[in-house]
Amino acid sequence: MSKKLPRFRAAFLLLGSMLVVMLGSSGAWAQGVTTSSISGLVTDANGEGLPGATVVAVHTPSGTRYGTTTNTSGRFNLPAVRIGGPYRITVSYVGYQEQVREIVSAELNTPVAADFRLAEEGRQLTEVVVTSQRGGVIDSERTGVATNFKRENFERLPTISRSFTDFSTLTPQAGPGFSFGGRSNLYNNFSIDGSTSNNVFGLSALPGGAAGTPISVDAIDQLNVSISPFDVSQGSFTGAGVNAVTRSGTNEFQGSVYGFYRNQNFVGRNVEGQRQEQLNFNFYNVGGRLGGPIIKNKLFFFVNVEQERQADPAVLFPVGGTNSQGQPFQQTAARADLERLSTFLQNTGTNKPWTFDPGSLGTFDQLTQNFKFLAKINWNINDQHKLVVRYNQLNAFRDTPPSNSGGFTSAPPGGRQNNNNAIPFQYSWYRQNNNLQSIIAELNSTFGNKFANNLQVGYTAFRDFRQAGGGAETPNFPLVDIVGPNGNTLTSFGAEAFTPNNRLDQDVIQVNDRFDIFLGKHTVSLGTANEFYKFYNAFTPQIRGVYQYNSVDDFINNVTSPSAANAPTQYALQYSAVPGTPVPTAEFSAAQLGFYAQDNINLTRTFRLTAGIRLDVPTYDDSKLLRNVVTDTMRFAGGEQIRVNQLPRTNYLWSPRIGFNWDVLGNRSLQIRGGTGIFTGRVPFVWLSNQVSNNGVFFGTVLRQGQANNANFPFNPDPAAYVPQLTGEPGVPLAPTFTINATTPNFKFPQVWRTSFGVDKTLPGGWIATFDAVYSKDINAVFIRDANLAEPVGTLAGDGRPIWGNASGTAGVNPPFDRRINDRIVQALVLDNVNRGYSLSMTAQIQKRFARGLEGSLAYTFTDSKDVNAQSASTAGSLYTGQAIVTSPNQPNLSYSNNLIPHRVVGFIQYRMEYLNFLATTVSLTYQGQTRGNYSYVYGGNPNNEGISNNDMIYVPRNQNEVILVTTNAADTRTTQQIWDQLNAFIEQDPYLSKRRGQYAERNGAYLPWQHLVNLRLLQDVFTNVGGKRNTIQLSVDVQNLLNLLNSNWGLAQSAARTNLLNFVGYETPNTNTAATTGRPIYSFAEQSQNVALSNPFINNLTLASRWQLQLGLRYIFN
Amino acid sequence: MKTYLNHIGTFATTGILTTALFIGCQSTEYPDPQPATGASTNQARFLFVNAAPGAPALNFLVENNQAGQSVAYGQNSTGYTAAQAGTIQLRARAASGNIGGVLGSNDILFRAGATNQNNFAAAANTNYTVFVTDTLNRPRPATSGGTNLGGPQFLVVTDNLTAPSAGNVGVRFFHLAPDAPAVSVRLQPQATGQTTPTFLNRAYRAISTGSGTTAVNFASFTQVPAGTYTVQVFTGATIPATANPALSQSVTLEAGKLYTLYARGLVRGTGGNTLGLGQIIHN
Repeated sequence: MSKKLPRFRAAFLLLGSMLVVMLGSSGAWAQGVTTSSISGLVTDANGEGLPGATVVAVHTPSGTRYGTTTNTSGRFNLPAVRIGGPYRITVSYVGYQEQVREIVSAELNTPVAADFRLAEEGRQLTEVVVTSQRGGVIDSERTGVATNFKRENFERLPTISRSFTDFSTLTPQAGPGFSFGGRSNLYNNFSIDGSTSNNVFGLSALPGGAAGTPISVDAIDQLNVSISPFDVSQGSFTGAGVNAVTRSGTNEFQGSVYGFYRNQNFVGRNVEGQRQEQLNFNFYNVGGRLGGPIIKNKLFFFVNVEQERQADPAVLFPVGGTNSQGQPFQQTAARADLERLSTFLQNTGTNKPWTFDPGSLGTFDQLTQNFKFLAKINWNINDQHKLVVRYNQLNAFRDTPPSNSGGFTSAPPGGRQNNNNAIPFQYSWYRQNNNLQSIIAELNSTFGNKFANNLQVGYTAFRDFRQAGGGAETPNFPLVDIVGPNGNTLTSFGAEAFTPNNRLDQDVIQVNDRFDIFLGKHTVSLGTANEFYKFYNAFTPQIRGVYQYNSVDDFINNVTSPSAANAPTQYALQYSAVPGTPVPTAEFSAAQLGFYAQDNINLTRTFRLTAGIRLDVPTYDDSKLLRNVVTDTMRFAGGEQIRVNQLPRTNYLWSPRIGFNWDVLGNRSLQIRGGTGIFTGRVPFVWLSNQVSNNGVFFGTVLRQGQANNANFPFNPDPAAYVPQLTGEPGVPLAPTFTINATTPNFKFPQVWRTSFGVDKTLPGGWIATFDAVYSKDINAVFIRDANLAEPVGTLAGDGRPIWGNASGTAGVNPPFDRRINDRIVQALVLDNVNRGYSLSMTAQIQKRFARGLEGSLAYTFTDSKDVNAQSASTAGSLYTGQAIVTSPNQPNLSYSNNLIPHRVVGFIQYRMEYLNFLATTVSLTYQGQTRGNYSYVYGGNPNNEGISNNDMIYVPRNQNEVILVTTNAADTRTTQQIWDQLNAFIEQDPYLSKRRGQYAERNGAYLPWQHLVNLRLLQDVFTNVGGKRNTIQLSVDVQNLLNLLNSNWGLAQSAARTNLLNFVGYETPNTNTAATTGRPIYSFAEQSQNVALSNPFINNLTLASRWQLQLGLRYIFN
Repeated sequence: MKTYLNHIGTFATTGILTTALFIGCQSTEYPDPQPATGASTNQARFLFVNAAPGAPALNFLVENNQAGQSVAYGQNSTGYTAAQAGTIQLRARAASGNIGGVLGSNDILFRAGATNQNNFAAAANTNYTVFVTDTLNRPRPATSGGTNLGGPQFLVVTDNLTAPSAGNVGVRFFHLAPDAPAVSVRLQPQATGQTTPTFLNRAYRAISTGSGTTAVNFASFTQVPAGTYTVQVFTGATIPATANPALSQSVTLEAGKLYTLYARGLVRGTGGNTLGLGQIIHN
C-alpha cells in the first residue's frame, strides 16, 4: 500500500495541473454529449470558400444565439448547440446578400450540416442549393453504431413502466435487462446530461434497483445509445454508453401535469386458454413538468416532479387460509400458537422482564415507491458562454420479505417467506431504500472561431440502506425462526438477518474538460475525463444472531425456564472481530482518470477521418484495508501469495481509435462509415469491494447446532449476549474456516477492441436502409478463480471430465487428495483478467422519419457473443459459481454469453393526425420478436466434486450404455429401461439436445422459444388555443402484450421446464479419503409429476410476462 | 460513376459483413468427452427373503425390475438377481392385492418415504440378502420428520460368498422374530465328537455388535463341519445350562454350502406365524 498512495496523489496532481493548463489557455468550444452542433461551408456563387463570413444561429424557442465566422477555407463550426429547434441560421458577408435558413432541429450527438452559397449584392443567384439538413442517420460525424430517441418518441411510444429502458430496448442491438450486444449490463455507462448515473458499485445495472429508474421520461428530451463511438472523449464502457439529455426551458412557458393508473382489473388472466389467479394491486404514477424563461433569451428553468407507487398485498397465505383442496395452511392450524407467541413477546412475565413488538401477522401493503425531482437552469451568459446546471434526485424504496437464506449455515426449513407453511411477522420484513442526488454543471464556451471549451463538473451521491418492514427502525433484537408441526418453518420475528447496518454510500465526483481547436480541415480536441469514487459499504449478516426453535412452546419455555429439552436447535451469530469496531465496513476510494487527444480531419469534402488516443488510469486507495495475518503466510495454487489488504496497482490503459465517414456520392444518399479502436470500461466496484469486506478478519462466527449444544445458551434478547471476548487483534480469533476475496495486483479494467462498419443508403420514398456490423474482441475480460482449489485428482469414469477430492475441512488430512489447498480457506476467489471472449452483432434496418405524422423503423439483428465468464453477478461467489462448466471452474470454457439474443427483430411505427382544429390522435406500436433467453443444461448436484452444485454441464448420451440411470426416489415406479426411454425421448424432441448427442452441453447453448411482444399506445388529444398557447387534454392507453389481449395463445412467454435435467445421485463406487472414485456417476431423470414423463422442454410462463397489461393516463399540456 | 460507386458500396458491405461473420465467430471450446463404451459392469446381486409374519406373498423389485416373484412368508427368491450398483431403490409389493396393515396399499420401500433421496447404496460386485421383517401392524415411529412408514421393512445384509474349506459349511444366524427378546443359538451336532457352534446374544434385527476391534459382523459365515445339527434357539444373552430351547429344529448342512438360518414368526404367533426357523442356501 505504501507505494500506491503516492501514485494516487501523483495522478491527482497530474490531473490538476492539466486542468489548470486547459482553463488557463483561453480555450475554445466543445461538443459534449449533451449537445448537438452545426457546421458547414460558406461559398460564393462559384463554389469558392468565403473566409470571414459571419454565421449566427439562433435556437428560436429560447433565443439562444451562437455566433462565429468562417475560417480561411470558408468552413464554420458551431459546437455545443442546444438540442432541439428550430434553428434560424443567418450568414452574412460584406458585398454579398445575407442568407437565412431555418432548420427543424439539432439532435443529440448528431450534428447538423448546413452549407450556404451566397450571391453578390445586386445579383440574383441562378441556382439556390439547399444542402442543409437536420442531423440524422446520414451525417458526417456518425462513424460507429448508435441509436437516438427523441422527445416525440418518449411522448408517443408505449411505455407501461414509464421508464426510459422501454425505449432503449428498441435499440436493435439491445438484449435482456438493459444489456447491449450480448455483453453484461454491468458494463454500460448510463449518464444523465453527461453525469455518471450508473450504479457504479454495480449491485444492479441502474440505480434505484428494483424500485425505479432515476429519471422520469417526462424530463428526458433525447436519449442516445452508443455502441461504438470512435470519439475518444467517450469512455467508461465496454457495453454501451447510454446518455439521457434532459429538457430545458425556453422563452415560452410549457408544462404538463399527468397521471397514470392500473390495477388488477387492467391485466389479462389467460395464458393459452388457462385462467390465472390475479392478486389485487394498484399502481399510479403522477407528476408534472414546467419549463420557461426567467429572463427571456437569457435564463431558463425546467422542473419535473414525479411520484410512483405500487402496492401489492404482502400476505398471500394468511392465518386462517386454506389451500385449493381446502386443507388449512400450517399457520392456520397453528393460529392459537401464533397468537400466544405474539402476546408473550409483547408482555412481561415470569423471568421475562423484556417486551418486544414483532409487528403484525395480518396483511399490509407491500410498497414499491419512488419520488423523482429534477431542476435545470440554462444560462446564456453571452454568445460565447452558455452554462447549464442540473440537479436531480431519486428517493425510492421497496418492501421485501425476509430472506430465506441461512447465511453461513443451513437455511431454515421451507424458508421464512410467506407460503403455505410460514408467515413472518411484519417487522422481520425489510425496506430497501435507494436514494440518489446528483448535480452537474456544464459550461460551453467559444473563443473566436478557433477554439471551444466544454467543462463539466458533477457530483452524485448514492445512498442505499435498509430499514425494517414498513420503514421502521430495524429492531435491536435477534432473529428467531420457529419450526411448525410439519417440519417447515412456521414463523419468524426479530431483525431480518441481512438488514442491520446494511448500507451502501457512493460518492462520485466528475471533472471533465474538452478543448477543441479548429484548424482548417482539422479539429483537434484535447480533453480529460475523470471520476473520483468513494465507497462505504456495511453488510453484517446475522450480526444480531439467529435462533431456531422446534416449536412455539419450546421458545416460550426456553425464555421462562430454559432446559435442554426446550433449547434452540440452532444458534448462528456473526460478530465483528475487529476490536472497537462494532460494524466493520468496506471503505475505499478509487479514481479513473482519463486523458485524450483527437484529430477530426475533413480529408475531402466527402471523407472525414477521426483519429484519437485516450489514456485511462484507474487508481485505488487501499489505505483503510485490513491485513489478514493468517492468509498472508499461506501459499495458494502455484505458490501464489494473496494479500487481502492490497487493491490492484495503478495501471495505464491506452485506447487508440480511428473512425471514418464517407459520403460516397457526395449527395448524402450513400454513406459508409466505420472505425476500429480500443474501448476501456470499468468493473462494477462491488467486485473490488468484495475483497475489502471478505478479507477473513472482519467477522468471527458462533454456530451451535443441536439442542444439546444449546442447553446452556438459552434465548437472550440482547443480540450481543453471546459475542465472545476479542483478543484485541483484528480478526483474532478468526472463524475456523472462511472465504477470502482478492484481486491480482496487476488486474486491469475491461478493455475491448471494437471494430464497426456501417452503410446507410437512402431509398425512394424517404426510407433509409442501414447495415451495421460491430465486432468486439476482449482484450482484458474479467474472470474469477479459486486460488485455493487443488488440482483434480482423477477423471470421471464414463465421462472424461476432471474430478476433485473431498474437502476434509481439517488441517493436514491427506493433503494431496484434499481439494482445498489450505484447509481453513473455503475459497480464495481472485479477480483476474483473461483475453478471450468476443461479440459480433450485425443489423439490417430500414427506417422512415417524416417531418410530421408517420415514423417507423424495422430492424433485424444477428448477434453472436461468447465469453469465459458472464461477468454479470455482484458477489465474488456468484461470479465464480455462476458459470456452468465442463472442465475446471478455474479454466472456464469459451461459450455463449448470458445476454446473447442471436436473432432479434425490433420495430416501431407511430402516426399522429390532427383534425377538426381541436382533435389529435396518435397511434403507436412497437414490436420485439426474440428468444426469451438462453440457458444451460446442467446436472443437479456436483458430479465433479469441485464443491459447486448445479454447475456441471451434462454429457448428452447417444445410447443407454452411456448413462447410468436410477429411480428418482422411493416412490418412483419406473424401470431402468423406462427411465432411459423417457430421457431418450426428451433428448430426441429437444431442439438443442438432439443436436448435441455424444457431446457435452454448452453453457447457454439452449434457447427458449421466441416471444412476439407487441405494445400499443393510443393518445387522444383535445386542444384549444388560449392566448396563443395550445392547451391540450390528453387521454392515453398503453397496452403491453397486445397480442395476448387479442388471443390468449399469442404473445406467449415460455421458460425452461428443467435446466438441471439430470440429478447426480452418487458414484458406482464412493470417493474415499485417499482416492477418487473409479466408478461411473449415477443420475436420476425425474418425471414431471408422478407417472407423467417430462416431455416438453418448455413451460408457459404464467406471470404477467405472458399476459396483457393496460394502463390509463390523463394529461394536461400547455405550450 | 454513381452506379459504379454504388456497386462498390454494395460489394464492400457484403464482403465485410461476410468476412466479419466468418472470422468473428468462434466455436465454443469444450473438450471431447470420453463416454462409456458399454453397459456398466459394476453390479450388485440380491437375494430376497420374506420373513415378515403375516405378510402376503411378495414380488421383489430392484429399480422396479423383477427380482423375485410371489415369495411367500418364510421363503426366499430363487437365486441372486444382478442389478446396477450404486444408489438404488428396493421394493416389495404384494403379489396380489395389498400388503395391508399400516402400509395399506403402499409398497415396502427401502427407507420408505415419498421423496427420500437417500436410497440404499449398493456396492459394486457385492452380494446382498434382503429380508422383509416385522409385522404388518408395526406402528409408524414417532420420530419427527422421519420417513419410516411403519409396517414391514427391509433389512439388508452383505453376503461373502467365498466357498468354505473342504468338508465345511458356512453358517450364520439372524433374529427376525419381532416380539422375541434377544436369543442365543446352539448348533448341536447329531454326530459325536464334533464342535458345537453357538451364536450368542442376537437381538432382533441386529446384524452386528460392538465397534472397532471388538466389532462382530453377524453377516459373516462361520465355518462348521458338514453334517446334521439340531438348531436350538434359547432366549437370553447366553446358552442356559438347563432350559428347554424356545425353538429346536434339525438341519442337514451339506459340505461346501453357505447357509443363513433365521428365527422367524411370533412368540405369541398362531398358525403359520408361530416361531420357526428359516433357512436360506446361498450357493
